Amino acid sequence: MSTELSLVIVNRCIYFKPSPLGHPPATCLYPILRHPPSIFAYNYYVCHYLSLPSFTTSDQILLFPYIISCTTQYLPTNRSYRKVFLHSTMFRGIRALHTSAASLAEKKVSLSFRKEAKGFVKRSKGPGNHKNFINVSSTTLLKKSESHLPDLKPQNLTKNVVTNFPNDSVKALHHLGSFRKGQFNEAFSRPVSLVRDATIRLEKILQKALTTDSTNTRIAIIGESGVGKTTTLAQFQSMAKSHKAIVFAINNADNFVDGSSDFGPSALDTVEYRQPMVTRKLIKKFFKANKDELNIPLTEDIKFATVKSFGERKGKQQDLAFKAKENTLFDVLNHAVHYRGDLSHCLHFTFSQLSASNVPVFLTVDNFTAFTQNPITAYRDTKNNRIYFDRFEIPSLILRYIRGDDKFNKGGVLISSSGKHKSNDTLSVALGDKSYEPYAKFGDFDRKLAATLQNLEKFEVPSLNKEEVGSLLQYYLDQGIIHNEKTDEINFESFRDNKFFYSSGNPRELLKSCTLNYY
Amino acid sequence: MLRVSNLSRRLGVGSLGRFVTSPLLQKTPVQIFRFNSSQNKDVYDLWIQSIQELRKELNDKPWIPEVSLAPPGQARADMRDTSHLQWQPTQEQLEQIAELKSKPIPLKNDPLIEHCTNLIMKDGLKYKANQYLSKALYLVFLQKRKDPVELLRGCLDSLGPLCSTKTMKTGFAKNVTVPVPLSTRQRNRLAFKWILEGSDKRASKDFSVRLAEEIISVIDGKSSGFEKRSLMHKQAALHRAYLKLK
Repeated sequence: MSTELSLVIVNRCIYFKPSPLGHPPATCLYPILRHPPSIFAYNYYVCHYLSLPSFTTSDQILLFPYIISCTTQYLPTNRSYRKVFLHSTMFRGIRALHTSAASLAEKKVSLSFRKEAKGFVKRSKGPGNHKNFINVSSTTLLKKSESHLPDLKPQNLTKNVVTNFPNDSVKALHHLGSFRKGQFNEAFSRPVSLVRDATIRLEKILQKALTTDSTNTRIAIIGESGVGKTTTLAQFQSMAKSHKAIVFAINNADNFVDGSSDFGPSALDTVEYRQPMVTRKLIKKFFKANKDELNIPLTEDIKFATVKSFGERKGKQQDLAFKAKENTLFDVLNHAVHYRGDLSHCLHFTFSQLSASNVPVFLTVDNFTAFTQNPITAYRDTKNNRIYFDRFEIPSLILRYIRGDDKFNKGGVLISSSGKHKSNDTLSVALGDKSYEPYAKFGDFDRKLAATLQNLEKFEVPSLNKEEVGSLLQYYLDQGIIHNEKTDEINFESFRDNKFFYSSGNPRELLKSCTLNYY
Repeated sequence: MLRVSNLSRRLGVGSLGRFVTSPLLQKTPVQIFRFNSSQNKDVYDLWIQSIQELRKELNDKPWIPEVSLAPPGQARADMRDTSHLQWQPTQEQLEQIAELKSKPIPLKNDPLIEHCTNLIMKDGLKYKANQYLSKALYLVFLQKRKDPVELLRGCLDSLGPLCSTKTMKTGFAKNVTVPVPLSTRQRNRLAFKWILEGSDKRASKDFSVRLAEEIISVIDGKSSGFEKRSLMHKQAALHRAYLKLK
């Protein structure tokens, strides 16, 4: 039985829909398959419409691998995403590629850790939460304890005092994603942090950066896994917000290299590829977190082209323009967060406006070691070669500010390493911790990136000392989160020494030993 | 005779362990080039010579730590000597020892937690089992904001059956079912096994989440384990006639 279909490509998605045309023979397809490039040379702004002659079901099978091989380079490279794509409703009017019983079977699920649980038995979905531990603990609405702590204010920082993030900045930090899962924030009524020596040092850096341009403040926060780099960065962001500075936070650099989001060719001359979904998310977060500080008059005009939805053909094209001196950056971003089209030009416009203004601006990048660990990303180009990360818009933008090609009139750039990435010589050599090894392989040392990162100043976050462990433990005891010790009987000093020894001054290990250690 | 400590000193190396920081690693390419030149040939000779000496020492005689670790100018080291530690307990520490002597040594682990961990444990992976239980108890704490160990103790106490039934052989044609009381450990075991059964029917793929939810449902009195408990009690009450009271 023949099926009449036409192929439509809209925004990198493929749709099939029935066609009322006749039934030309299946062989008509073969010339198209042999000379395919014209089909897929599409413009990503314009919906490319293409009608194919109808073909039989057996021809679909011939055509499908070809379509997939041509389009997957513009799709997420993560295997599970691809699978979702292939099984999704994007393919309409045609049966899925895999319809065997094996592909329809439920994914095997590990049963409980009980002795009696045998094998992987298919079971019906029962009551309760379907999430895993980390998501349940961080997202479920839980009964919170109350605490009255001083706020983290840059004016009065006292060492070894546990502080709240102040009200005026905590909402912005939530928007920016500065608080992570797995930080045990759920155990307390709101995120807390300890004022450490590193906090006071950062505050001095902040004071200097508020009056000088960003080339004078380019900091790399480093330290061992779980030592509090992300928290220190959050403290910096909070203090910057207290000074009415603008913070552009990228809280996970992995998003740019791991292939988890879509990408396509960029319309800009300076870079080759754009990542539309990540750009959109970043702009949204930035706008929400900095609404109060964005009343900056524009120095240039910017235009947003009208984007029509599929099938909408009538009506005149009406572009929306924001004019210099008349509008502010707030107006532009307020429009951008609801805009359906490409936002790459808006992101670059925002950065150029921020660079031109006199408001202090801080660009912070967490998990920056994603770039040193995976400089060759999971994305592939049209020749099936993996793409170097600086060919993407946002990573290249970050590098420009680190290198000093672009700068803010006031402010700085802060990057933070992550303990989850393998240690690599690139950052260590760039910061002067290690000597240069000429025979190091590319996987161990990226010379090009190291040359850029040489501009950064090292800022090390050390482990906690005994006094800091003591003040944290005292707070945990007050909050009643320690249950594995008989707290009324213990000698506090020996208890503190004990915890200090076992955690070796690592805040994450300290919290784990208090909360996830019942014996 | 070459000693281990002497070797490291002669080579200018901190220790001979895994973390040897060779001066070679600190050199720039130009310095390495210079280092490789004939001027430094004697440095290599020193290495080879030292290794040969050490190998000879270890091969010729059995390993005697007293001899090999002796300080320079001394034939044998006194291994029992602790004078170099120069440590004496303070008066306060002595008082603390005296005070603690009268007290019993506290238990290392909570017996209940130990028991539950063992019930969860599979293939001897005790640490993993304890991690599951700890995560579950943390989730219980987040929901209830009370000491989760005490909550678990309470819920096992409320869920555990008081008595069970046992089939006794009479020696005649008919066997009889006799109610028997259960010890605390037996009660806890049954109760926790019912909790595990209940947790298996829940949705999450994470065992600790399922376990936490089931513990919370027991605390709230909604668990299916309570039906099993009452069934067991009814069974025992039915056969109360066979009780032998001495």
